[in-house]
Amino acid sequence: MSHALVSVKGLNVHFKEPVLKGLFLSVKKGEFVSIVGKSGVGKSTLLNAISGLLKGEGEIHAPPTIGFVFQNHSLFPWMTVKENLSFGLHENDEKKIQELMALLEMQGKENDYPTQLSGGQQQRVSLGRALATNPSLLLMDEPFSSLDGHTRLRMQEWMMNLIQKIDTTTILVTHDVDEAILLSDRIVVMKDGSIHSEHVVPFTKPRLNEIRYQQPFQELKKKIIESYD
Amino acid sequence: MKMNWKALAFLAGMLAFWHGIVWMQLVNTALFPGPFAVLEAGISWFNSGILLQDVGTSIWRLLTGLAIGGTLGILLGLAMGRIFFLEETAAPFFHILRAFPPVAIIPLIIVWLGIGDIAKIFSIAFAVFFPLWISTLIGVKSIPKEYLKVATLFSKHPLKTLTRVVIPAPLPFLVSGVRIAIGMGFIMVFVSELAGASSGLGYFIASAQIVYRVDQMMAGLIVLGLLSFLTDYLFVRVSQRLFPWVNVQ
Repeated sequence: MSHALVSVKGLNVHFKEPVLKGLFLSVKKGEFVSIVGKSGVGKSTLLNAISGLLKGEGEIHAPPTIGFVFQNHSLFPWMTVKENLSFGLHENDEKKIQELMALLEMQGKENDYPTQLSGGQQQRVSLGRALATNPSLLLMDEPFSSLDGHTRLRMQEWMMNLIQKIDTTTILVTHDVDEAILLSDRIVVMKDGSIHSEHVVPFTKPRLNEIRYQQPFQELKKKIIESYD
Repeated sequence: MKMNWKALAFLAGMLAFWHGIVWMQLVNTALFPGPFAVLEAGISWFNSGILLQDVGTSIWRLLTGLAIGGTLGILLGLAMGRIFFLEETAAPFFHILRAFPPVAIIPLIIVWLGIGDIAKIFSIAFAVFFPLWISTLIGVKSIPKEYLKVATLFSKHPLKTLTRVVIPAPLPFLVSGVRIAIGMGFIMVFVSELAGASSGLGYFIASAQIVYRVDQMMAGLIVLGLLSFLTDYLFVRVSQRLFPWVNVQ
């Protein structure tokens, strides 16, 4: 966790009006950073710019291999789980697929279509597809927001376990401050198209869901939410 | 469409009603023959060997027209859906052409191409082109942006994006388009064979009309309807098998 894997310097993005205004962000290798903030502050735009899906003015240094998990799973409905997972691979790497299926805890579902899976399973496959190419950087844009509360909690716990197993730098955009504290090393609050404040999460990993009921967790949450305004 | 006992009972009821009104002589049987008379006409048509020949000719014309019009419609729909310049330039012209009732162009086609198979196949291809063109175009334009983002991020090969994302994504629209095109195709087969044909279901019905054989006309119509139904049914079954993720119903 020494040098910056992702470096954003003075990033400006305009649509009809400026969305990102001279934004600076640095993410160290192996770090898990969450970006929070009110709707419309440019969180998803920042992820799109880092991934190269969106062009802006300014400097962006990011690794060439990037995995992306979208808000809606965005799995191709005409492909089976196995085909979706191998979409980014050069050839049908059966060993890799089996490794991913084990990692996603979805063995036996290789030939199912996305419509045959639950919301949580669909999002796990989406994450598996993003991880298939062994990305140096994983970008996640509100990956659990479309799930019901119970599934969401289970997925956050599952994600906590997963990030202990994979050695990937991650940037997560979320509206859920609990989720951000549970999973991240650092939380960045965005406001009006730029970084407003940063908060280091002091709790040791792996964190259990129960941590959210403890006083230090609640105090950090309060501090983060108060920094929105 | 599933045939259940209720649907079969209703069908049997309709046949019984038809037979009943003929048996009670509520209608002129020369103009409205009963089901048995129509069945007899159909059997005699089959035994003569002409039925299969007529069906074969009509199906051949339909499939050739579908293949030509469908291929062009799908290719142009794909191209216009992906290349904005092409859509902006050419789509208005095709929208104007699409507004023409396909049946209305038959007299012109006869003038230009005569009364042979080429004219018939052209008129079928013309009619099926539009539902397939418009459904492909709408399907391509409706591809969720996320799919294209995923394709851009995870595949650096435009050909892979085209074959594995852009072509399969509009399939639900395309399947509906093909079903509409099959229906349109059968209409055009019938209409184009009414004049200037020497075989085919339309020709059989037109010939029966000349000699006032209403039983034969009705038998021809039933065969045409059954063929259209069966073609659609087979297409649905094949689509369900090939594209299990598409809600074909």
